[in-house]
Amino acid sequence: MHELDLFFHIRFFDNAAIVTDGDVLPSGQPKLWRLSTVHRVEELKSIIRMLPICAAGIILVTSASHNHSFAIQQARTMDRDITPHFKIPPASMLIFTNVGMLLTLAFYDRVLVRVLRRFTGRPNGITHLQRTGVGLTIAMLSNVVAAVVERRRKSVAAASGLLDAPKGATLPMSVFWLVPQYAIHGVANAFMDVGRMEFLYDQAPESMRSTATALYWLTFSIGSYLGTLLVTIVHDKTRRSGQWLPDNLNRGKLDNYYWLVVALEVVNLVYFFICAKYYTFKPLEMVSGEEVELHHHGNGNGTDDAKKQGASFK
Amino acid sequence: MACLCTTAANDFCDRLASVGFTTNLISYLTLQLHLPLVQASNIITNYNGTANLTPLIGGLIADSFAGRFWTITFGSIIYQLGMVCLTLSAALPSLHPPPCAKHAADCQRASSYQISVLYLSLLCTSIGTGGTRPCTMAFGADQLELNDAHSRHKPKWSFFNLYFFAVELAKLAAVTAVVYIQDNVGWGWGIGVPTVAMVAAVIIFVSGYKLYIRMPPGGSPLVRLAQVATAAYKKRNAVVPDPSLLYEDKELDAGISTTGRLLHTDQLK
Repeated sequence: MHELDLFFHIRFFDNAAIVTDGDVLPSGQPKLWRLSTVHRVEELKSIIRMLPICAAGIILVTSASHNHSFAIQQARTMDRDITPHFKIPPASMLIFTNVGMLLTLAFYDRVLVRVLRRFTGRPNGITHLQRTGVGLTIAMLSNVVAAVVERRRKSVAAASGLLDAPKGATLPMSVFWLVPQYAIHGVANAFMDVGRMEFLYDQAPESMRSTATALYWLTFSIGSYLGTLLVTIVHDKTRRSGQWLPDNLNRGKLDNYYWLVVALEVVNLVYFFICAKYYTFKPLEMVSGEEVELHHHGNGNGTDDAKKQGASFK
Repeated sequence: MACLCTTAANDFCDRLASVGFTTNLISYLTLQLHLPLVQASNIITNYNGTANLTPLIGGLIADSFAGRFWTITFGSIIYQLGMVCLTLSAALPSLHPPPCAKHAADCQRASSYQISVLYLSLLCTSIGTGGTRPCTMAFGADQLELNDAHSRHKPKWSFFNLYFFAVELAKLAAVTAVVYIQDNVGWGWGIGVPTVAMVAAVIIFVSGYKLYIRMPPGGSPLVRLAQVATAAYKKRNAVVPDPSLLYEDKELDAGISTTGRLLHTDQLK
């Protein structure tokens, strides 16, 4: 048994499958609120085991939420000319996240998996959990870059005397300085988002896939609320000693906010590695063609599989 | 395979609409409604929080009794109402404050009435995502799984790479074309275009009704989980016997274990 299972007292749920007097009706039907099958017990255990891994996605969402707000406001102050007649709209900076993700997905699926397969011997190249871990690490880099760039943007504003410029004034600094933080985030998503979804689909009990997919979206939900909380706390605590997040970002300390997010991501990464190390994979019956036959025609004969499973755990 | 195309088309329009609508929300809130940056940023994160919380309820409804098709359909329609509402608030002068004078220090903020119209439309769309988000991907996988009986035991990883690729393409269209319209043509059109895309998504999706393979819902997973937890609690003092004596009932679990039953873990030693 795994240490993490012990930690969560997960074995407790086995009690549901102990047959005692009066659990089964004379017709042979079990009373479902008193007796569960091993399959149902394991469904619950799988879901419980998946939760800590899912939770590691929360900070990633929080760390990306500023790409939809503060980073767009940064872009609004910068030189957005592409040609003399065309300015890139600030919100369109998100393009670089999309492009980063698209290119990474294509590269990953077409090239990287084939190369990795040669080293690891796995059909998928790396495991879902490894893919997720790589994504978390890259996401952290994105915010390091963001912090460095914002520091530079402010120094340009100070140097050109535009710290208190009216809305719409343009700093002599190209908006393309923001490209790396958006693009790296796209690369991270290609690993992290897909890794998580694969993991959920693979490890969720088959009858709970809509619900398990909802867990994926739930991390977006909690991550977003956490983003609100983080911004509110930071805004509140820095009110006296030089605001970090004022409407005029030139007078703020958005870079400190980015570093704070990086710190949270480091903690999250350590947490994820611990969870992943002790994760117990879903123990599904080996399903080859023959065993499916056995499964369909052997209803009511529970001992075959119990023996097989005993052997597989030695 | 035709059914997969309509699902994909629906999902594409759906993403185009929702991303086109949310990407530039920060600009709409700060530049049109004149809200302060922190409040606008919090409205967005709160909206994203709610819109991604509702899928938990939608997923349970789909798995328990409604099935994925109807959950997606109803979700899309409610989403649609929210977008129509937001389009109106951007297009009608009475529903948003007048534009700032150039270089004016104090712009008129949106009134509480105007803010409540905004909240109403955001509420509708977040209820809508509860129906679509948990189901579209699984619905697509359902089509694949049953169309090709041999593929169902293969790992689905390349399906997910492809799915996310398509979703990113839709987002790309949203952050380029839609954002361009919003910033250069106007907000009425800027939100109107995604709204029309959403109408198209719903029509395309529903028109495929006869083509789809609609998996019957397998009974509420939440009820099943609750039953296990209750049964375990009632027998909290019982001693676990040899694992092979634990209860098994293949007939009972047939509907929820078509790709193989889960084996007992926690073997000691």
